[in-house]
Amino acid sequence: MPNVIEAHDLHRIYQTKAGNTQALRGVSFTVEQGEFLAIMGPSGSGKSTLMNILGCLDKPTNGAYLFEGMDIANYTDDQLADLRATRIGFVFQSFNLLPRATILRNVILPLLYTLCPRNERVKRARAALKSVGLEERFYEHRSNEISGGQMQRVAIARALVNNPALILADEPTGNLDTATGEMVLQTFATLREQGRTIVLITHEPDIAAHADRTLYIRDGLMYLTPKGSQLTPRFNASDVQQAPAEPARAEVRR
Amino acid sequence: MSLRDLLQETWSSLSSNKARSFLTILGIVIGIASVIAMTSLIGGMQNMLMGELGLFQARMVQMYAFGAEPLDQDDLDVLALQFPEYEILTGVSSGSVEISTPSKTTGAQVVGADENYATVTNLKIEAGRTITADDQRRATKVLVIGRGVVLDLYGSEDYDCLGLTVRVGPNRESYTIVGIIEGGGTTMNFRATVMPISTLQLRVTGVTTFDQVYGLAREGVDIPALAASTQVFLVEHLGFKEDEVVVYSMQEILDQVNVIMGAFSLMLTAIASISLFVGGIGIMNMMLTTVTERTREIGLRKSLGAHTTDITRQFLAESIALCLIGGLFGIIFGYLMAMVLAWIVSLVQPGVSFMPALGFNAIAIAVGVCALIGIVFGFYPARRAAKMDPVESLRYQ
Repeated sequence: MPNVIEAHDLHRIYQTKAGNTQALRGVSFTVEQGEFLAIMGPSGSGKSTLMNILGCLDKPTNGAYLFEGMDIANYTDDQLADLRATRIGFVFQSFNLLPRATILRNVILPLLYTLCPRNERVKRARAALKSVGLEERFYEHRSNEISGGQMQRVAIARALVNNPALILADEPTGNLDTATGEMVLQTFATLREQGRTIVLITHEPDIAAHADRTLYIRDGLMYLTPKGSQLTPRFNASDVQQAPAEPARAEVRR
Repeated sequence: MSLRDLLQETWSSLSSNKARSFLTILGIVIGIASVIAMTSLIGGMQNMLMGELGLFQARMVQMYAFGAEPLDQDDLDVLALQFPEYEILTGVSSGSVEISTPSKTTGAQVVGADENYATVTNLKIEAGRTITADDQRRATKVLVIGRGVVLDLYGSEDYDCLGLTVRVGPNRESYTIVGIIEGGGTTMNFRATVMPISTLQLRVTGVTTFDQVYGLAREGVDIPALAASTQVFLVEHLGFKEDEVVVYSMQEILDQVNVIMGAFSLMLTAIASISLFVGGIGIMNMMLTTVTERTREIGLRKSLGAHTTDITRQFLAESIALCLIGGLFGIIFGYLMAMVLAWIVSLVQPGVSFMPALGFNAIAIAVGVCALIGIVFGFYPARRAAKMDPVESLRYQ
């Protein structure tokens, strides 16, 4: 079985009017099936850029990103969308629930973009909500009628409902108080027990401590420890195209 | 995304913003309402004309000779021989008389007619009888009158005056009322007075010619052609001057009316389309606002796997749904407006009363136009939503 994530020397350059900004300068790492990885970094370190690439919302300017062994470089927008719909579940800092829709409807939402038959949707949504421990009496509530902790658990259920290969959480506890955040992290721990692959992005060490392994990102580069000791790529150099010496002048792909 | 899901999403997003959705569709409502009101008024008027003219009217040919020598019975006999296409040829003439009861006197324009007059002109008798061939032959002193005349003579429309005698003309001869013509104050027959033409010629006017001749063509005859050849025959063989005799068919008049009504509705449609255009721009404006407001939702949907086409369809469906709802309201309000207008017309203009008529075609066209507006004006906002970058739109505050 291929690794869920194989990142080979990822570069991401943003072209702005002020000039080119290098958000990622050669990031390489691997996430195995069933692993709970935390990626830590201060703001501006490039972790959001990395998360967008890992979630197939964006493509690297240079380097190779293999998702479940498939190189997504040549995927069309629609193919990437299908990949997101079926293989990736997102959990956002600000929950991003549709406020006027019911809890159940919010969890069903990703299924609308898959081939899941109508009669199975509610069943799967209920199963997902149950696995994050949300009580059934809330299912018909609107999502703006419940607490923040409950909202985030609904969002996790929404990420789970398509049974994805990867759950990608971007600061999932950032908008929650410590106690509620702890509950949400417990939910992730439970998912980890069930064999889910989780990548959690955060800037708080306490939260990263819940993961099996933590990587540190700073100024677009990946480190094994908080200070220094850069992570060396764990792949054969022949697998990947040569990183250009001067990324700024390299061919920019968007 | 299936059609059913699409409709469900559309409904939930439109219903969550009812007030704004309603204001947005007002332009469409007004545009469609005015078209529907006008077309149903025109349809109603056409129906009224047809109804008042009756079944035979489409087959009717009218002749007037207004020169020195009017049409007389000899001319009609020749025409009847020459043109077997006429089922009936009947002449009428008229005169002014005074009619009085012991207490009241009224002036009346009296029509002299034979037994065919009621059939040809669609005159309906409510009580009693119409002029008969026997009346005509014996020049009996009988009258058939409308309710308005009854009112003038007896002070009440409903007065039972069948069989009563009244005095007519300068010699105050007594005539018997033998029939009451159907039709209330809103109809042309309200003040009609009819007597046998032989009586009129003999006792009232002394003139033996006709003011006007009605011909009823047999079924299946080309009526405008018959009218044209009658005109030619009158000029070439009966010595009428070309500019002193007129023959025309009701069919021609109806055709003319239809042309005028058609031009009228075309003009109204042009005016209404301006209002629909403005309404469409309103829809576009609202859709652009909606797209901006829901940037995060669009980003979310894309991150959950929505294709570009899913987003396009979702917003296009919303704009089409808005326009269709507007159109539906427009049809309802337009028809109600037409009913109110028809009621006002009947108040202002007694003698004119009709129900607005709304055809299936008009409804189908209105619905089609609304859907088209939704597509045309919703397309740009929908494309704009679909083209949004998921990363950017998820970050949007």
